[in-house]
Amino acid sequence: MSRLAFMNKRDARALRPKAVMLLVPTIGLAAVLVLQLMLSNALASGAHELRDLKNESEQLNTDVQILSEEVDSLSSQQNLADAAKQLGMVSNANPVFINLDSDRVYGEPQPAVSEEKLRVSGNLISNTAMSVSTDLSSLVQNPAVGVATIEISGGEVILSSAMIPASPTR
Amino acid sequence: MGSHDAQPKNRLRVIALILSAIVGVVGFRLVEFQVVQADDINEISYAKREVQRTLESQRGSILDANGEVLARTIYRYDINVAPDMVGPVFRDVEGVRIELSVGEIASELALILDMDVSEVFQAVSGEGNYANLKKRVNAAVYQQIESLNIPWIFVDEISYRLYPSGAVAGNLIGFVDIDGYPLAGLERQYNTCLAGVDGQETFERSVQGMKIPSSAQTIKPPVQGGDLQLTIDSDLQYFAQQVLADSVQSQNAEYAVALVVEAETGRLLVAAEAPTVDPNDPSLTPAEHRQSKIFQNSYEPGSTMKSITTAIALDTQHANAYTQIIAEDTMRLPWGDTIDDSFNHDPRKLTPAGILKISSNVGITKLAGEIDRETRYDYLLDFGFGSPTAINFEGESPGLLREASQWDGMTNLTTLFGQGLAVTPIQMAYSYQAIANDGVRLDPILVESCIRDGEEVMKPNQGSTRVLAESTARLTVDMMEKVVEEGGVASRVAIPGYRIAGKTGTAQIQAEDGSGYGDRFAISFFGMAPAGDPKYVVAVMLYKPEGAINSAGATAPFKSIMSQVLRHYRVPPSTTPSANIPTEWE
Repeated sequence: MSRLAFMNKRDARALRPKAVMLLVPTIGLAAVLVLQLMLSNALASGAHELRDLKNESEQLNTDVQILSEEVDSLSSQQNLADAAKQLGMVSNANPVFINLDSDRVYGEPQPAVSEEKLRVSGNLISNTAMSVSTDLSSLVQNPAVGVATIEISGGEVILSSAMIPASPTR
Repeated sequence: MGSHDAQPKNRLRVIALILSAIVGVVGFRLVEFQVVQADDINEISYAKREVQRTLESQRGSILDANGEVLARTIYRYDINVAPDMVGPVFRDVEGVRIELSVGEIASELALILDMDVSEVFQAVSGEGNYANLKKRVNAAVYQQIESLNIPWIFVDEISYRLYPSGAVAGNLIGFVDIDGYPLAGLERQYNTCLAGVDGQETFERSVQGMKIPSSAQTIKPPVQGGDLQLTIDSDLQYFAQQVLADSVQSQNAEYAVALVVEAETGRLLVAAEAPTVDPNDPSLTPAEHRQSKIFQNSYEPGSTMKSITTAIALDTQHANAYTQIIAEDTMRLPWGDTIDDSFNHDPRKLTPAGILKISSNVGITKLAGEIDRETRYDYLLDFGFGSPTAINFEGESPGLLREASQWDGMTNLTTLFGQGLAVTPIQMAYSYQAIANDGVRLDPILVESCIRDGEEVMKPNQGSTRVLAESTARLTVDMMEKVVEEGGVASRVAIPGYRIAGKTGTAQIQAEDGSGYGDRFAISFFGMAPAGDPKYVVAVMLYKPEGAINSAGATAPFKSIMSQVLRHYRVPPSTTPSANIPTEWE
């Protein structure tokens, strides 16, 4: 049977828990908590950034779709035909062909200006997908006159054979 | 003393026993949950968190010969509202937080959605958690709605088929319904190429129902649809449709068709119709004009068949360039019927080229009426009549070509000049392609390929049939050139600088009640250029134009389209004269 015995003060002090024993786990725990906090902050911030980037990506995708639909409309044959008409361009029902080798002209050149010579005027083919059309209001001040008033600069280029005036755009 | 010592020990033992029992039970349950039932519990738990989602595949595009997009899939948006959640909206304006009433929000929505305010207000004032405000708005509208940041507005993204060129080649391309299901045309015929296969993914959601990032797992990746590349040149197609629309309007015709075929390859470059359908909104077009008449409608071709008959007569050596025929304007048959020319004339001394030039029914009957009907029937089959083309377009008509044994005496002769049989415009165009291509008829090609993930997964398997000897085909072209050079109406198709060969057709149309021929015609012009070495076949047919008594109405659109084809493909002008063959004899 054991009995309780008295202990001297020195022994008792030696047996008393040291402060460092308490501090080490406390600091360790605090460090873990701080690290966890930092980690979850970083994760949360990463998640926010991910969400922002995802939103931005969706936004840009929508922008791309809007722009590509605009490009579709502007490049459609219907819009180009309407724009050409606004600019005063007409389809010539009497095309003339030039043989560049022989400088020979096939056909009777006739200006495509009078109404009866227009086989096709304006667009006749429907396109309900056209969301925008070319705005030529700044270019065509007077639609009745159209581009007929635009002066072409540059001199006439004459072929070596001096038979056919060549295009000044070459 | 002994009893004092025993008490704490017993107490400790009891506590230890209880603790052991608790630990034992907990441990047992732990093992049971974590090991024995772990899989079942995990499964139940995962089932509660797991959400399955379809990964939608995108339908492929339809492209023209130059890669221009004729059909593609984009997104449209359904704008919905949760009426139960509707309330004032708070918004920061220049740093000041303001409250907008439901009425003010309704006005904003109405302006963007192009709706009445009352309509919007009615929708948002309802009950429940779902009401649709507007369906299928475009991305620009969707973006404006999103920018309002209204917490009780939510949006569904919907796949949507867009046809950027509208009605250009609309009759060929066909269309899909509101759910993207193909209903007509190439959209339907080539659905196996165009349609993708939806995939599937799973992800876990939190208690709040939010998707847990990084939990997504793709079970089955989606397979995107393939792109369908056509031989159609959309710019040329548009031009031809413009010309046809103008002709139908000015001549008050029921409809018109035009085809452009590359003679040496059999590629179909244009298959234009008027009226046509805008696949973006097929409901705007009457049902009878939503189909492709080029493939699905057959008609008695009339005089354009005379080129075919002449070619058969030449190939079977029943005739040559100098065969002499005296053609009266009427011919009485042994059984009492008559064959008449379309105009009165004195007996003419004609060669086969002359018969084509004045389009004499009597002349062609005298030229080829003696050819054995079985032989002619076989030639007609080789020319492609009586069966659908290799394109096998949805609902394509085979035309009507009865077996030779079923031809009565009159049919035996009327088939020589295009009556008593019916053809589709595509069949007729490719019979001319055979003549233009030195006597070899090629299967028409409309679809060049199906491309999936950058690889061609389908290519047409083109067949060919030698119908005529090369020399026969060449001579037939020379004779058809005389039709344009010296003919009456046909001379209107002449294009300065180019040699053109062709044939007019003014075909009678059976009355719907079967009481014989009516007073309206199917007028046509089928031709090729340059006649010295034909590169392109152009075919134009107007059905029931008002007041037409000859094919003059078909020559102007033919000339316009052929001129454009020659310009478009930079065909050099002809440099050689036409063949020196007679049209009449003395």
